[in-house]
Amino acid sequence: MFTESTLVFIALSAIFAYSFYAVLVAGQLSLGQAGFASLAAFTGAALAPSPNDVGDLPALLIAIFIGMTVGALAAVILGLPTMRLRGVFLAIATLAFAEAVRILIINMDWTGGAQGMSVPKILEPWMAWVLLALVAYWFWRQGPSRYGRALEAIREDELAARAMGIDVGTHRLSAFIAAGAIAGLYGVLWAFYVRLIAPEDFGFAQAIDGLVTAVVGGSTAFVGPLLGSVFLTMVPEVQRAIGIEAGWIRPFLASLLLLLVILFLPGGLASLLPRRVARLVSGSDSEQAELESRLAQRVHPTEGQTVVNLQGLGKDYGGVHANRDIDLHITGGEVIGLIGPNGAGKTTLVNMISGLTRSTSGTAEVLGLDPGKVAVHKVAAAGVSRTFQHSKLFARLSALENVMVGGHLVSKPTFLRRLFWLPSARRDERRLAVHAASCLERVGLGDKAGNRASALSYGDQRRLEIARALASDPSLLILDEPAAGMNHVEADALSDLIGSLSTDGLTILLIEHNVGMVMKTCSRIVVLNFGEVIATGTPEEIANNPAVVEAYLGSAESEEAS
Amino acid sequence: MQQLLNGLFTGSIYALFAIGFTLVFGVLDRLNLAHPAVFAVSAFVGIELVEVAGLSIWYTLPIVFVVGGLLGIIIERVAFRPLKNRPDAHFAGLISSIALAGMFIALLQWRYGPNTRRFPADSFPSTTFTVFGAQVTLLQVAILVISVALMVALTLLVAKSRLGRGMRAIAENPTAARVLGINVDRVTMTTFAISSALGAVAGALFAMNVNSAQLGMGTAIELKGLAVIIVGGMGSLPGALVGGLLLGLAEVFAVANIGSSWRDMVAFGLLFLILLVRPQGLFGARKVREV
Amino acid sequence: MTESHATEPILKVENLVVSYGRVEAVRGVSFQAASGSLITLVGANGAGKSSIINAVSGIVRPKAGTITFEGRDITKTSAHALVGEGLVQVPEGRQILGTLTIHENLQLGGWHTNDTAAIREVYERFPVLAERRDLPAGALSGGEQQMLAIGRALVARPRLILLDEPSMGLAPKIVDEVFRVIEEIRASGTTVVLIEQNARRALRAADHGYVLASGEIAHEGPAADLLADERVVQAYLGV
Repeated sequence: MFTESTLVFIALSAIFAYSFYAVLVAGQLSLGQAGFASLAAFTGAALAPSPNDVGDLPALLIAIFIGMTVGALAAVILGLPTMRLRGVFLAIATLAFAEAVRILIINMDWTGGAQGMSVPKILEPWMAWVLLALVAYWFWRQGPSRYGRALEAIREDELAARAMGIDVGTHRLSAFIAAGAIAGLYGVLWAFYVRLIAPEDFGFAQAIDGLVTAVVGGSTAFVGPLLGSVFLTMVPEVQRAIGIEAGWIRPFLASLLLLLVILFLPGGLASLLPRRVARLVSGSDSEQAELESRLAQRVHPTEGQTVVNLQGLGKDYGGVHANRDIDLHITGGEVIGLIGPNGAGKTTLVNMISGLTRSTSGTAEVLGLDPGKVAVHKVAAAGVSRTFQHSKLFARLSALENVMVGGHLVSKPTFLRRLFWLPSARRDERRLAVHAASCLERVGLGDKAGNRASALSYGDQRRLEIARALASDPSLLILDEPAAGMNHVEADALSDLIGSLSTDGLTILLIEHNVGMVMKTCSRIVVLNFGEVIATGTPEEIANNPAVVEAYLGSAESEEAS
Repeated sequence: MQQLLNGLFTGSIYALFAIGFTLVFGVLDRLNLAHPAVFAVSAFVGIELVEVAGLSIWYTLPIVFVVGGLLGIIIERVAFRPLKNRPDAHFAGLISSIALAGMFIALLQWRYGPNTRRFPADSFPSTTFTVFGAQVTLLQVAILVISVALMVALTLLVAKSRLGRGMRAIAENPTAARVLGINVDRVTMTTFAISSALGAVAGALFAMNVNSAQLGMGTAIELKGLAVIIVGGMGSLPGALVGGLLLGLAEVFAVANIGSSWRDMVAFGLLFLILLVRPQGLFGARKVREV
Repeated sequence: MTESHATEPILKVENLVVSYGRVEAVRGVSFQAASGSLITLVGANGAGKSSIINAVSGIVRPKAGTITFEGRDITKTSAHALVGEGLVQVPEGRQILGTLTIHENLQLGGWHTNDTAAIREVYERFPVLAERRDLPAGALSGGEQQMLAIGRALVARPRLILLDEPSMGLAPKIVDEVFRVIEEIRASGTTVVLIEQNARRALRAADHGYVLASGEIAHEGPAADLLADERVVQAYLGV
């Protein structure tokens, strides 16, 4: 059963599957890898020196170098114009690219046209497996690094990732490039094993095969592609061993297997393995304090300094005024409550302040920049952090990992150093983990650090969002209905937490329906209705303002006598 | 002129195929990659009906329509309904429909073997017409007429009938549709059935047009179908019609002027161009599904 | 409004529990509506009002509890079947199908009943809809959309109508109009269950009221009593 060719094909198909994994880990459904492989294979085979001149291994290595470079370049060429595409559109565009490459190669002379190109057979099983091990190693080190977490965050919730300060564009492109290089590696290795390469070898069917292997293996653990490859290569071997010969049964069973896996095992084979969550080995208290104090500290605005300045700000959706003529000035250390009935425009206003939505009139200045003019992650980098009305947690990550992603901006990149097992990388990771753990402690979730975010109760999820927002050491913290679904006790605890954060120097903007909590927690309250500010003032002033009472409890004017 | 007409005939089949794709995507926001497999299955079934049951090619079409409808129901039940509430439903649906397609093609291979099949020699009427100096067979005219008729019928169904209103309601806002009392599951199933039925007729017509059916024909047309719906606009019925005809014509002219081996590139060239310049397609609207 | 003499209430909800995943939005709520009455559920956001309505109308399946309509157990009945049985919801945010015309929206209301006479009656009640019947519904103003949403529900000739926050986002004058329509509907014999943030307005229109907080019923009683009760104000404002 384990012939030389079986061994080689398992390794090669695993490498190809890794090129899909590289983008799936970031949630991008790119199917162009067959095209990268094809270009790399033909270019590598054509440009590499003959093994007779330089020896087998050197020729292969040179070809690999050429192939991976070509693959990476092709990925950039595909990745840049498709930057804005998501989901199905991206899948189709990249699939079309792979097909286009195939046709291109058929029509070119130097590639041998449809006949293909003959290539000396150099590859031996041990070489393939060594290279596979290197690729797997790469992803093994990537997973628990800051970069790897950022990719997973993008997969789970792209918008939330942006709000944590992650530059989604560059991360996506880098994932593409990795996919391109690895697909290129696969292409070259394939070429130097099968002796004859033709454009058909890298066509639609192969593209689907690679995707299937990656999906069956699973994209939540780095061993996924390897598992998928072993499994899928072994299925026809097993079938042959137990005597199933007929040509149609094998593809039928393979497809049936794929169907069963996707229906019943959505995370693939890798999901059968327990996910290794970031764990915190507790050190002594003084060690923790020392570690924490070294995490990058921002200079926060002091009392009286402008944090937010909005003038005449408005948002118009084709005739519907979500916000109109908003003037708002927030200074350092204030705790501002933003209240108003449903549909009053609170979330839209907050979206404009945090850069998620562009205003259509007026000016805005937040921590020194105009949030409507820069990318979301730059607004986060300036010191704005927020929670969302509908939880946007990174569902499949643990609570601790969620907060660690929140700390993206204050932590150092660790991936490259992890590749070489440098101890400074481990120290930095630990520092981040300790920092994240202390944020969790602050909201009362210290004991749930290892739990998956999606498995937490609603109240805990709301608190996790806050912990995550705190991790970036923000100057302005925006909380969008943090007390939703909380009872009196929980809401009181939240109120105390907000108070203590304010004492620490944070400026806080709070949207809430729980008016009692807002009255207790905030130094100033702004009331919105129909997109406009109808009142601002201290809690006492607001409670006694008839316009506010009317907005909330309903109009007192009516024909009927009570 | 000959080119123009040939392009029109092939294009109308592309359009009929694509309209099934775009119907499911427009109403249900799902890409059904088992659609090309239905295309292939119906081609083989059509040939068998003529060969074995001795039916005239015209009578095979309604039967193939029904077979397609049944396959559509199977696809919906097996590949899409179980995934309804999963967060990765789009992606998973893609894979499960690919899997089902693989199973269909494997079964085709079991029943018909791996070789190309053709219609029996005397299946096609030999009448030809001369239109503006070009030769046109009765078969080709029939293909054009049937394709266009089916697409018009679908457009009317969606615009005027109760079912069509239900489809449009679900396309815009599935939750509102449920609140209104629309049986979303039943309408979904019907949508898939209609989509596959149309794809099946397209397959039979295609096989008649080139007088052959091969196992790989689904894959070959799959990417073109995707190109057509993106160029025309995902979810737009007139877009699929126009896009299909456009592709048919563009291909014919490319072959005449650049060379036949570049023919398939035309689809991708158009696709890329549209994705970069106007991603919502010629007739598409920027739709934001409220979640 | 005098008490109905029917022995069984037209709608009875007992110990309803609704959860989304591990989150319990509704924790053991019981209430009922007498035939022909108007009852209202008020409370702050996040108190669970919408979840209750969605459970009753079959959009969401409750985790526990029973819902009885006209003596029949409808706990597990799904939304599309209930519309055919005379129980219709006017959802939060109106959920108008903007790309369809007004007339098509109304036709959809009659998905089960196919009652063209009912559509004519809706046009008589809301002439502004009749004027614009072939325009896309998305072109209507907020108040007009609310009328359309109510009209759409009426096409099914329901015996019980559930209204989820009909005053949301509407100017006070339009809200008056909406409530006038609601009272007319009630007067014609249809039972109305009303969810509202605008507690005062709702309690003024209703016979009986329930105040919700954190997924449970904090107060209940005849609407007039609740209106005059300071505790309600406090519970609602959470002070």
